[in-house]
Amino acid sequence: MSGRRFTLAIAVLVGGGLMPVAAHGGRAEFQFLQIRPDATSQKVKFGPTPNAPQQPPTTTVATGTTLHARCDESSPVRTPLRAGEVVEIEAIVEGWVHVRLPASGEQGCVRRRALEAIPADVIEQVRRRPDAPRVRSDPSPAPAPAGAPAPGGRAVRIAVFGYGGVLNLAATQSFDAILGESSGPVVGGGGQVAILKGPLRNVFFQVDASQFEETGERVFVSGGEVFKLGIPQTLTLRPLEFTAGYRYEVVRRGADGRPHAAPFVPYAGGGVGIVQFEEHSDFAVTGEDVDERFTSYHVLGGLDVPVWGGLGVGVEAHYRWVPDGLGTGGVSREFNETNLGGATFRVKVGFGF
Amino acid sequence: MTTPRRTSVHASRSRLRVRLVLTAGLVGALVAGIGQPATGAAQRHKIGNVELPGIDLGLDRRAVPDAIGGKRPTSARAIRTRDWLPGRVLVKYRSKPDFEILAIDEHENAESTAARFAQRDDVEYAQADYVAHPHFRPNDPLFDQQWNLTAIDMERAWDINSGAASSLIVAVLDTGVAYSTTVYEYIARGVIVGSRRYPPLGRVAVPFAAAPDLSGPNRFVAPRDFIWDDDAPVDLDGHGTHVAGTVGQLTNNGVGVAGMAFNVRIMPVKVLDGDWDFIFDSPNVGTTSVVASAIRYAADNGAKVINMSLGFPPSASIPAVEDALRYAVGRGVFVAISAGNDFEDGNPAEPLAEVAARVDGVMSVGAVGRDLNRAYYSSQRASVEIAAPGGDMRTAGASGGILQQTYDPLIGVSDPLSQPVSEYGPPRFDTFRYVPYQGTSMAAPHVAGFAALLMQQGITSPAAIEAAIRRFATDRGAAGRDEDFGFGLINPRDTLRGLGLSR
Repeated sequence: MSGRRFTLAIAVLVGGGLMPVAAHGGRAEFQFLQIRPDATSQKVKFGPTPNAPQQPPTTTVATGTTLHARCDESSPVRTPLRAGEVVEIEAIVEGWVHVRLPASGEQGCVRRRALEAIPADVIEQVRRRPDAPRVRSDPSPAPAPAGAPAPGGRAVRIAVFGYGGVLNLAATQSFDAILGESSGPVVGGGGQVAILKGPLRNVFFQVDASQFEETGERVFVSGGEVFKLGIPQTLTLRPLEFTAGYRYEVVRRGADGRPHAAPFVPYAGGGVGIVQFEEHSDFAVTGEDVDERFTSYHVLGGLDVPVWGGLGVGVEAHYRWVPDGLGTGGVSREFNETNLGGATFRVKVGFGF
Repeated sequence: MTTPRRTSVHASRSRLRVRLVLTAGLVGALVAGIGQPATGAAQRHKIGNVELPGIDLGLDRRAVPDAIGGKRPTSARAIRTRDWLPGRVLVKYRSKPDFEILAIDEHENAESTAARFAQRDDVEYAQADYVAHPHFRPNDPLFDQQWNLTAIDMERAWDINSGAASSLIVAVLDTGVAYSTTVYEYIARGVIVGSRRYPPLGRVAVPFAAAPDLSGPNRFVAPRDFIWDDDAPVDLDGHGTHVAGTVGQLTNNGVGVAGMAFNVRIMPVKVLDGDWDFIFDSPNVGTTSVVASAIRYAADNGAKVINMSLGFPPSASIPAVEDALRYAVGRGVFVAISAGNDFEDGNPAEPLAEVAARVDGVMSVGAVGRDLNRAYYSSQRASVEIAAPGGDMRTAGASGGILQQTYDPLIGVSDPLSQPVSEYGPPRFDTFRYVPYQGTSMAAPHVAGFAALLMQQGITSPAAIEAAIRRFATDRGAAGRDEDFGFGLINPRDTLRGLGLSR
């Protein structure tokens, strides 16, 4: 790695959504630059500024071009730039220049060839700026410390996600009697809208649906002993859940005194839902199978970890209550278990837009 | 050949005598106060085997067709767990002469999808492609007369469990069973009953035949006769044969009637002596010691269910029998016991039923008639734990009895000492007829057969079988347990189906 600079671009999954993050590596050490997920125009402050604020160097757009979200031709286009438009130079990276639009505060990348020639002293000035990154191949907007207002850019971020995990059911004895175990795989997916600006900044709203389906046997229970009857019985849970929550954008000061965002974003939330519960078995006649819906309540919490581009992963713990979903018949009455909910541990994969 | 000891009459039986718990046809056949104490061991001699030509004795195992309509889905699991085929719905458009089968996603709920189709104006109807389930109805020609089986929904119960399996042994502790085709020689002594003097018949060759609708290869196991102290518990009465038929009459064999657990093997254990056993001077009579020994014998020789359609005098204390019952239960044997027929005779306590009520895994069974009300004779006591069809021919005539194959009553084999002396003669036990009986004796084997089905289904503990039978019983009479029906009328179908998670 000696003498070679590299860049690691990652994105943070936010409750299933993603936020772009830039990370920088140095020669002997990695220097991570945590970027806010909202891709707005907040700058990262790399520690105390020793002198009075400097005026950033500027240049002019030479030919009509576009402002990209990142220094990458494939990255989203944020706005067109007209010839003659003045931009502030934030950083210069190979064929790209990271700029800021004075009028709107919007940041992004422009092809260096689309700008007027940048004098050498300006290049030097950019390099000498205390907050200038050494290398910046991914000049996505950096996040401000949590709580700071987002002065420009999008107001919300939309993400989709899918997940798989293990559902550990609260009605342990009842499910164990039928299925031989009280847990099983669950898969699901959903979408999320995260607020990036205003008083609800960092709040997210989410809807997701999942399914748990396992086949066991009908049984008889006597004196706590379970007798399996060899009649297939399939249990299906299909929750549809609505969640509101808060993401904790963690920014910490590193050894160099500069703020660093953590490489993960914890979040927590809760909400309500509807659980469709089905029981199907052989030899059932009309009215003997079950297809019912119950109101559910849940809380969740997890960590989102950026991976690359808009892609991210996360882990989540989730607990659902479905009061009185069980207990009126079947083995659940024998065991006096009424909660159809349980705890789920999920691994998520998502993509943010 | 040994000379029979008993050739005279007027003897009094002073030992505790087991009573047959049967009203019609049999009650009164046992005459107390006659006969003399034995002075030596009586014997019978097997003198030949007789084949019954033209009778198929083969066990006919019911094959339940997997009657699935339409093409099998790719997912075997789906077909096992839903009532309809996934991936398709039937839609009848108004403009088309017949329905069409439309492919849908296999993961969609076909019923919901069909419901959405049905809302369209151009659709006459839409439905999921439901899977047909077999409703087993035996082809036994007299099954239509077996109201007792349809009343407890046995057709659907057999859909779940088709008559248990030959690995299960049900012991019938009774007057014996017509399980063998042979001829025995007895010496018949003279008997005086009241003013009637039945003359000694001397040596008689008595033909026996296996009940054709009950017998088959390997059908009977470990036969034991505690009345004659040998391994040939032939039935000299007909009661045990009738009871055994209700437990496991061959079914769906195109012959006669059906039985509850028609694939089980029967263990004939003779513990009751009938009139002919008395006339032939059997060395033993049915006593507590005989019954207790027989219970242990059955438990030690592989029986998993015992039927005891018998009782003891109300004043009897029977700890030896209770011990034997607890021993059997401890070895995993469920026992069904008739609750007693003496409601109109003062409704006395039935000692065996009292024991049953306090031993989990032993159930006392009351009787209902065709109207599913308590039969007029059935004991009305707290010891009654469950009810099953036992017949009530007072309210419904002969059709209200329990129809099973046993000896032809027209030849008077089961009631020789109630016949006129002029018609008295050597018996033969090789002629059968389908005869309606009534009694809690007839109710108990319904429960015994039912228990065999439950064991085959997976409930292996006698106490759990009793709990299951109680749990799913159809409540009758007063809400909850009562003295007429106990916990209610047996419900084999629901019991075999057991419990799901929430229903």
